[in-house]
Amino acid sequence: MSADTTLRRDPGNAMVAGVCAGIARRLGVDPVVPRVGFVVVAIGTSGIGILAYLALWAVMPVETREREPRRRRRGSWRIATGVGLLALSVLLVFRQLGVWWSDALVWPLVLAAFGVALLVSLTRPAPEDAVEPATEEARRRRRSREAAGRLSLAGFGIALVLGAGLLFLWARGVLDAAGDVALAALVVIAGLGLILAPLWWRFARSLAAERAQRIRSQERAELSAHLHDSVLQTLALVQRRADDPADVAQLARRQERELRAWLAGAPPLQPDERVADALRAAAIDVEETRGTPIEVVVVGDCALDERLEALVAAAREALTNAAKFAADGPIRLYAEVEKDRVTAFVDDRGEGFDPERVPADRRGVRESIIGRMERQGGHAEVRSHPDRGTEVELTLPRTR
Amino acid sequence: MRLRDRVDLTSLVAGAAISVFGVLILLQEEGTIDLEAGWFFAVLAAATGLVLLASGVGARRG
Repeated sequence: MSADTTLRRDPGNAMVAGVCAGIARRLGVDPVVPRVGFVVVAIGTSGIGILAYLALWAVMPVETREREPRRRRRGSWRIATGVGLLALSVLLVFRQLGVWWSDALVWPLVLAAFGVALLVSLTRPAPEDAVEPATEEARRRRRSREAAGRLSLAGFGIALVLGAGLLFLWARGVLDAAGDVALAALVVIAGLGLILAPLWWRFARSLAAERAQRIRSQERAELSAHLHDSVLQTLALVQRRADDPADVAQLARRQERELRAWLAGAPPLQPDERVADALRAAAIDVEETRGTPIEVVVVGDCALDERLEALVAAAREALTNAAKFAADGPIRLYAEVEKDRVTAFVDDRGEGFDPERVPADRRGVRESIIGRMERQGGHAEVRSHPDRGTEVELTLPRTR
Repeated sequence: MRLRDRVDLTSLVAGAAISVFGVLILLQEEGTIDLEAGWFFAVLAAATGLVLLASGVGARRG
């Protein structure tokens, strides 16, 4: 079935009739992009752009589908810049044709329109990523990068609006009189800057050194506290249970896992909310119940829903089987969360089996893994050979 | 495989834009048209805008 490519008005997101919102929806860009294009063309063409808007209002059908949440999509900046350049081209054409007010009025208005459009677009919530970063550290880095980007754009938008005002005043000759005063003020500010710069530089360096020293002290205190609460306590327990190797191995494994998570700066697991954490929690549970170490690698993350819970349950069943029949060998769980699907592999180097010879009354693989995945619209494949281990592949599309 | 799957949209639009420029410069050199700076920049902005638009749309299609 081919997708509907008709250009439709979007009254649910309209400022006038939803023409620009509809175009933006079709192009997958912020509505402010076509809006500023229409405003610029309407200004530059002495109102002909308004007639074009009215014509589109008349011919475009209304959008009736429910609006999806905004997502970050590739190419948005290229499309926005392309639309801006096309609007500029239309303006230049009308200027050449003489359908034009005056350079002193139109160009400042165009600059101001772009600046205001940029500032208005920043008032909306940032679009979501299709795949969220897996760790809290990565999420924090992304938030900080986005904040810096939005701050830069806000600065650029403000500069455009101020520049438009100054350009308008300059074109009107108003700035000529203020020029001498501004030059004198600039010279005084530059002189003061040169005098105060060494003092300011020394002050800034001492502040930075003091801050670094404080951070180092805090980190050392935090490290000492953590080592006391975790590693030293575990070592004490190991000494007390030295006669039980399985218990000691389990303690060491738990401590290793906890220490690795701490070194990586990972937040506490949220197995009821995030699919990556649910898979890790399932692996930890099987590992502690069966006493077999499991290596877990999860790439990407997303919110856990009912269908993904089925995938986690199937992975847990596969891990349990692997721990039963490959207790000595390494067991690995690898999962990848992609934009359109989630895939998990459970792999062991145990004794393996012939899938064709599994008795009909053994429902673990058939029902708890294959049947469970198929009921959710997914797919499970078991690849196993005697003496060559087993690999279970679970695939679930993100949407049915 | 359909034709639109095989054609790189950005290359197609960029090629068309360069061809249009070539024709305009040729006509200018022949004296058939008098390409003023205003027209030149209008065509340049339109060509660059179209290439960027095609590139953005192409990136979405993957």
